[in-house]
Amino acid sequence: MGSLEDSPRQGLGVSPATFHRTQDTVLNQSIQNRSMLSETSDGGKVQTFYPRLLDSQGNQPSTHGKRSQMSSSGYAEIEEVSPGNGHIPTQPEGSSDETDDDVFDGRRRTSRTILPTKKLRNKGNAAFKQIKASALNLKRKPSRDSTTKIQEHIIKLAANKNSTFGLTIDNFIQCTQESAETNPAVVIRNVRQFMSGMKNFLLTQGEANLDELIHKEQQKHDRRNPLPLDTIIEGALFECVLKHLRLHIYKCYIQQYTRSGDLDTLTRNMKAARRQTPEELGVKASIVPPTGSSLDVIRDFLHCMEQEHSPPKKLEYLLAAVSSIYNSVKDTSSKESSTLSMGADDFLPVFIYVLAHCNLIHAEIEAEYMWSLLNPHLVNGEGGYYLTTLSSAIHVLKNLENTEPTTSSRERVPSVSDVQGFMKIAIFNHNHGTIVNKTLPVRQDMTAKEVCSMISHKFKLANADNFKLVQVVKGEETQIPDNAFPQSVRAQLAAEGKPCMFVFKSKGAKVIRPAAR
Amino acid sequence: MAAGGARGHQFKVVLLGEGCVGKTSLVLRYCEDKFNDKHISTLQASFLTKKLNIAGKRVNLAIWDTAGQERFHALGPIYYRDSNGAILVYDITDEDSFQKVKNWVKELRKMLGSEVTLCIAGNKIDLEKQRNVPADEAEAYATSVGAKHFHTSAKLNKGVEEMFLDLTKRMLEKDSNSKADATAKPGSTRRNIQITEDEPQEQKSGCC
Repeated sequence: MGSLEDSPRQGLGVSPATFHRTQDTVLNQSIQNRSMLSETSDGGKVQTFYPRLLDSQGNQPSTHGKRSQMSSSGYAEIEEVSPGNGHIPTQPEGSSDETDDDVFDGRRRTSRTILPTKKLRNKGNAAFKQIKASALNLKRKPSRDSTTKIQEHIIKLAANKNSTFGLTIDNFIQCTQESAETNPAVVIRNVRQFMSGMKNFLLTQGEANLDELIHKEQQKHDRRNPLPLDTIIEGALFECVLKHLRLHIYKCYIQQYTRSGDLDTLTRNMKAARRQTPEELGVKASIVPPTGSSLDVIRDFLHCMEQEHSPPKKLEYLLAAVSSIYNSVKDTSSKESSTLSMGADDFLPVFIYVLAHCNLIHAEIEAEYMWSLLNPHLVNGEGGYYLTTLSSAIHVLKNLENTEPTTSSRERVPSVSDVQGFMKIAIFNHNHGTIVNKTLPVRQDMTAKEVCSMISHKFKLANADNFKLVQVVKGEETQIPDNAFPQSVRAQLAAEGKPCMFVFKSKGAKVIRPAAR
Repeated sequence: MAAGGARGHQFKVVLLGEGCVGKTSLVLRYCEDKFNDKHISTLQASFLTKKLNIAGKRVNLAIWDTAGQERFHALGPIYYRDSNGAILVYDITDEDSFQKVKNWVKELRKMLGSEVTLCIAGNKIDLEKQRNVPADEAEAYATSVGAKHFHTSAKLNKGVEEMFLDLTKRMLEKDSNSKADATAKPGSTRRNIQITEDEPQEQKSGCC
């Protein structure tokens, strides 16, 4: 969890605006993504999913339902924090939803999504918001255009290798990719610092008419409602930089976690967790975690999260997944058709269950990526809460008990056979088809041949010459040469950390042996 | 994490306590004025916010619920880091849950020092008849560790508002007191966390 440490992220400032898009937008986008990304998923599935969502929310009587709170409150409170920190421009009410992200989404995806406004977000359910938002979409056009214009300008600048800005970005990407530095924490910190630096450069130095453009666009907005420049620029930089470096960063993380065994642990424990019942994972008996198509929807959101390179958008997908979990969990204990209020006691185990069943083995990388690249102010609110929940779920999964027995030798309970001078040997009697484990006295200086004759003698085997001593390492058997010392062989394998077993068997016999533990 | 300024103060409050003591009910009561209310779909009650106006100061509380089950104990630090306040909830009918509160207090003081403002909530006073934690003992304990004790019932909506209000006021005080320090050494707020493993559980001696 080293990532939770504060890395030097000072000076960066994604304004909360990046988050102001509510989840319905994300939902919408995901639906488009679904249909765009996966030919395999039938259209019907997508369609059944969406109305279901409308149903569950459309009926919600209270205009102050938790879901609306969920999507609004977290962001609203971030908004409060920004000015206190000086370097972040105040987030205007009206332009809060015109984020850079929307612009990119709009450009990249086939159709534009509906943008719920903040006012509506506070007012109520998603369905309602969507209808209203689409009606209001026209009104927000100017600011949206400003964001688009500025960002497109920056992206164009970055593509121009003759400008200082473009050249610097190009060099940085190339250097990072070719660098010998593969410690992900260092790499990602450099990326973060570079982006903050470039942002400051653009804000202070300007480049090729950017100043003019910004000035011109700002004129269109009144003073109380200035453009969230910081967010706009940061959003453009995510496109210019992270788009090209995400895979490199992932590669570094995968290498590190593979080396450290974390990836393996998480993969194995998730598999083990899938075999456990929800109750064994801590889910209350009365709560039914998402299954079937609900789980598919959540999996899609998590998949989108994995594919995304922009940290704030990743977080949005995470929140969308969280929201779907809340929508699909059922409570069997409630007397009426009412639903429970899910606090952390209930939610965390369900979330763990979902992560395991979606097999999000790179969850830790996703969490690290977001922790390292997101503006600290964004991780104080709701986004931060659920990112924390993601980190804690990973922590729980990595420390899951009752996992399947590992093959690691250090977890084996020492036995007499580990004592010097003894050796555990499995004796395969092909006449009876049995395998007997025997702990036998084997001196350091005994050769394999001597051990064989001792065993033949002890067990009164007629055709002793036919029998050989073999070592089995990871299911692969190798015959131990007659003049080798079995004890030295064992010591060497133990030093290499390879669990092994010794089998005494006749040459031709095929042993269906238990996996070496 | 506490941020003041023209647009108000921002506080993070973490809810700690054993499972089933009513953490979620308390915060739901406070933020939504609901107790087990009927609703169409599942409510998210893990992260809630509340806006307050105290003596002209705008305050925004972000309330972080935590999973209280023993198996999740090690997660505490991930959640309570950077907290301005903590509400430690126990069930007055359950002595163990009060013991748990004491453990949390110890841990919080060790990890966050006196920076964090503490409240102890003896919840479920609607079940006064089944009380197992003596009120005076709990209050004396709270005083001894510099926390404030409140008798609450999320069900009857008793003591909840008062508790959050008092906590917020004390956080505001602390915030204005520490302002001077904060400006003196800007790098003082570290965001380090430390995860401590659970102590290994004693092996049950199985014997027939």
